[in-house]
Amino acid sequence: MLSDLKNEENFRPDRFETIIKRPYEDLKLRYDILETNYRVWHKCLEDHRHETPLLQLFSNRQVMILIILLTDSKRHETNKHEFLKKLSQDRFDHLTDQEEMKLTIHYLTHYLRSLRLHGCNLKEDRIQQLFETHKIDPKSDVNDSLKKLCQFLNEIFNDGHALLKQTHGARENLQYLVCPEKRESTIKSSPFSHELDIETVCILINIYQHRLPSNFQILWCSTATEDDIHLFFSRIRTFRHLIFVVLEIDVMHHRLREILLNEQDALTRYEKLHACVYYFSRELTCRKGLRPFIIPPKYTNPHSSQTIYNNFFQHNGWTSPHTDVICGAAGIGKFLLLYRDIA
Amino acid sequence: MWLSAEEATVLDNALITMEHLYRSGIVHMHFRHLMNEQSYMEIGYSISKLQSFERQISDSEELPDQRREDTERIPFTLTMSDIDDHKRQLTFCNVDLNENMLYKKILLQEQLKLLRLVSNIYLLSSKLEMAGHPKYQLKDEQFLLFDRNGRWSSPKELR
Repeated sequence: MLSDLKNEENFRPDRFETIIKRPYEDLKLRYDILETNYRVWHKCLEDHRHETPLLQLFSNRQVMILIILLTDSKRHETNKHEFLKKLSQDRFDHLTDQEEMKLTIHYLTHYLRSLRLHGCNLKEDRIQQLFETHKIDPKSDVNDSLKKLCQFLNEIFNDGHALLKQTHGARENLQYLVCPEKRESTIKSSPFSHELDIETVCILINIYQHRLPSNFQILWCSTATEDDIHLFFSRIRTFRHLIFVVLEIDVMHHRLREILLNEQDALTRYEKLHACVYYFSRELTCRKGLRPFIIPPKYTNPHSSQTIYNNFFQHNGWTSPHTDVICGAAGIGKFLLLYRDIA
Repeated sequence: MWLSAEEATVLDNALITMEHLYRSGIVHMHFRHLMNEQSYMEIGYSISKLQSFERQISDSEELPDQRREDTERIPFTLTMSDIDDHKRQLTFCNVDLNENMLYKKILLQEQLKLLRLVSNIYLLSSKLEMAGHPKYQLKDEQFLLFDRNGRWSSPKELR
């Protein structure tokens, strides 16, 4: 390549450099555009979350999926179409418009129900009607998409009043460190040992006496990203009357744990009131602003916790799901039994 | 560049790959996180049959396209780990080239810069995808590494 270049009569070193550098310059432009878009996306999310508190209840990925679902797509080869096909487990080779609409409403309802806000009408026809009102044009930019999504959420949930009003007896502005009993350390830890053991579940049920927690009230630290942690703490500051729980701190990556502890520190110094937070950890010690939570013995009693759980279902008039417990030694055939029953 | 097959070493191989990338390299990026699949990037280039020599024909990388008589070019693909290997080899080559091969050094350094920029673009696009930007999901991107109007671009269209 160099030889046939040098054989040219009009070889000029500066032109050589220009030709070589051209792909680099083009790609550099692309990179700068990407960086700008990244910053714009984060800024838009922050601004809209500040304006519409309901948007804070969904993680970044959930917001993205909501936007995709809410986008009005007439053509069939869009992202939404591919996404819905994959979710419906490829039962259809080709989704008709009507099937696509049905699946869209179905998945939208799933996300809206996950917020567990009482007193909101989440019937299918209402959602469909609101979809028609607030659907997003595929050509709109992220700012417009987020605006439409916020309007949609506000209209369904009446601006989130149910979450922002005070409930009786709720404690505010406190952070507790819950230390479940230390397990005896085994030489090889069992692969089935879980952070969510019976003791933690019992304590959780007792803490949430009057309502079961929603997805956004719990931070699962083993799978949280940095954005998730910051989002969780912004929820704590916005929804002062709810209770929040941080689980699985002990299995976090150390870099994320540092971010979590910094956020906890910032929360301690926050001047306004914030919600009550419970941190479940066997390894953390009490730091500034973190009170030790004295666990009353009845909190760890599985039987009384189950009573509370059943009462909760009865009180709300729901039928509790039928559960069968299957337990036995390894190799006895539990999985086979399940497989036969389901199939 | 003309090398006999037996004496081609790993380092010379890097220089040959560098030349092919300059002539016909294309970067393909596929983002699949929305479908819960892995996102990945690869670089493809092709060699025209007239220039290829015996060793490459028996190479295990070749694709069945080569068998057809009407195509003149043999396509090759570098996966993400191949790209990292190539960058490492170029860095070693940089030390070995002596000072009076100035233009070769320039070519090598420019390619290293370019490949690093391509990696950065891939990382940033991945970050955008994971942060949930709705316009950066399920994308297939293509970037040309060769200069279309330049001296060394291939005359035929690459498909």
